[in-house]
Amino acid sequence: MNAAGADYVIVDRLSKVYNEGTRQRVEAVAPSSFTVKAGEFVALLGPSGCGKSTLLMMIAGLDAPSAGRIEVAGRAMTAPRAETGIMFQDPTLLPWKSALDNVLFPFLAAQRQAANPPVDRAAALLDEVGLRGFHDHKPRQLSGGMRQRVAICRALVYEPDLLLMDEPFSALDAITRDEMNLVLMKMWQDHRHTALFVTHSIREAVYLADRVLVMSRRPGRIVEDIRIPFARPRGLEIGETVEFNKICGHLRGKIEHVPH
Amino acid sequence: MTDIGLPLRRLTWPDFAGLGRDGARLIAPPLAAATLLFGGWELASRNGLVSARLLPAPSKVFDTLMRSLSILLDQAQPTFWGAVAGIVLAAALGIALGAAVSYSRTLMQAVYPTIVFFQLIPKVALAPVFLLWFGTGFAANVIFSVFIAFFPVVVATIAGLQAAPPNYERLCRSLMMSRAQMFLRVKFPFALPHIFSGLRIGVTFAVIGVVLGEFITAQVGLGYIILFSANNFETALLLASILLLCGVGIVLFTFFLALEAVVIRIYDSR
Repeated sequence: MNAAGADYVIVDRLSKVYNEGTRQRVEAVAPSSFTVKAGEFVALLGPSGCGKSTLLMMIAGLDAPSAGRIEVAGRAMTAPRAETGIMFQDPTLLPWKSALDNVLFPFLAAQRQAANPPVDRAAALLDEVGLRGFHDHKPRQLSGGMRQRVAICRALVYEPDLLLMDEPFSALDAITRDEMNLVLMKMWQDHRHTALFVTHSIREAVYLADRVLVMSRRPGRIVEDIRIPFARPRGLEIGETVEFNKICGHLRGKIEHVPH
Repeated sequence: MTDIGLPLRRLTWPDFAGLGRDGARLIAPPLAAATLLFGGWELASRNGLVSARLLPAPSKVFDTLMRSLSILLDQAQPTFWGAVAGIVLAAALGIALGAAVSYSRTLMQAVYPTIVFFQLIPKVALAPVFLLWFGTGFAANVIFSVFIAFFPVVVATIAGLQAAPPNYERLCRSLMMSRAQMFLRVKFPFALPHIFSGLRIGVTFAVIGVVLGEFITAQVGLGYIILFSANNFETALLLASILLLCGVGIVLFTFFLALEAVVIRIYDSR
């Protein structure tokens, strides 16, 4: 889908300050710069409250930067763009709609409104994430992991070129989380979009990503940018390897010993 | 349903036996309490423990109700329809104003204190002012009813429109939905349980409003009969009117409960 190798997302000296000019001034994100190449899976790793979610929301166009600029697919970001898919920590499904209708929810927005919403594509996506037979279930009839699977489908149904994920699995238990990582990997390999994944789990970042960016405590700034060498497709068993754990150890050190 | 190895009877529909058993457990205690209360009242009144003039026996009240039923039902009509008009208008106005105020933060900050201020006024105190402005008659009673029933609906609507967790708004914005779509598809459905609890309070207020109007304008309606019978020491008639007024309230309240059940079944935000 994307021309490989080109910078797809460019974040240039981006910063966010809340309550500027008052005594409650909080610098959430210190000027940060990085790029994400087309088709790359990048994890943004950092401790809670380091501003990584704020950074992601700015890239989504949902939060205005205090300074700096963002460019996505060659265009400066000032507002949300139609070709970005997004996932939050909570599945944000509409409780009164079935799983299938939730996946089709993006087509209620004016610019995507079609005479025939792509029901087949939505149904196929639900099957792909293992929800065959659950299309008509309401969110309250689904487990937490199943709800996030529906949310993945909703983010992918309009075929975005960029998928932004804000700690999407952090509310799930460890076993479900491993499952969801496998599902996400599979969906990413099948649909190939550029992905930016915010997490505070070191292992999750190393398992999922081509590159891991480490953010320091507030005010957040990028303190490490490493490439993860494992070949794809990756099984969960790579988590047992020495190399995997060495990388995790290195990242943990970066998070703990960041200069203030 | 998980099988826990107990010899539980499978619940089939219709399970009238189960319904009867559960129903009995539900109804028996309040029924016993009511029997005790009314039985005691009946006895006290008959034995002259309380003056039958001030507190006639329940049987006497019921007797009066039956004898004057046609007149009372006649008088109940303006009260009932006044309350219906009151709550319907209050609902429409309250939801509209709540939505308008929720649309912009500036508008909210500007208008909300005023709404709260008006809610703090004992509205009964304003009844004479309404008499002055709108005269006597059905319309005046309805306007007063709307004025009273409107506040719980506005406040509930404003609270309800904040019920959708913040990420839903982010989701809609990222999907480039218009604010109108976000309102219709997400915020309003999430607000419905709140709005209905506001309406439940509003219904009872609407009845109060109409009766207050009838007290003051004193021309027709159950409120007028209550006032009239009190002035003439017709306590049995007074209590019978109040009984019928309860009936009016129950009919309206039940209607809104049923409406709520239907709507919440569709827009179930649990």
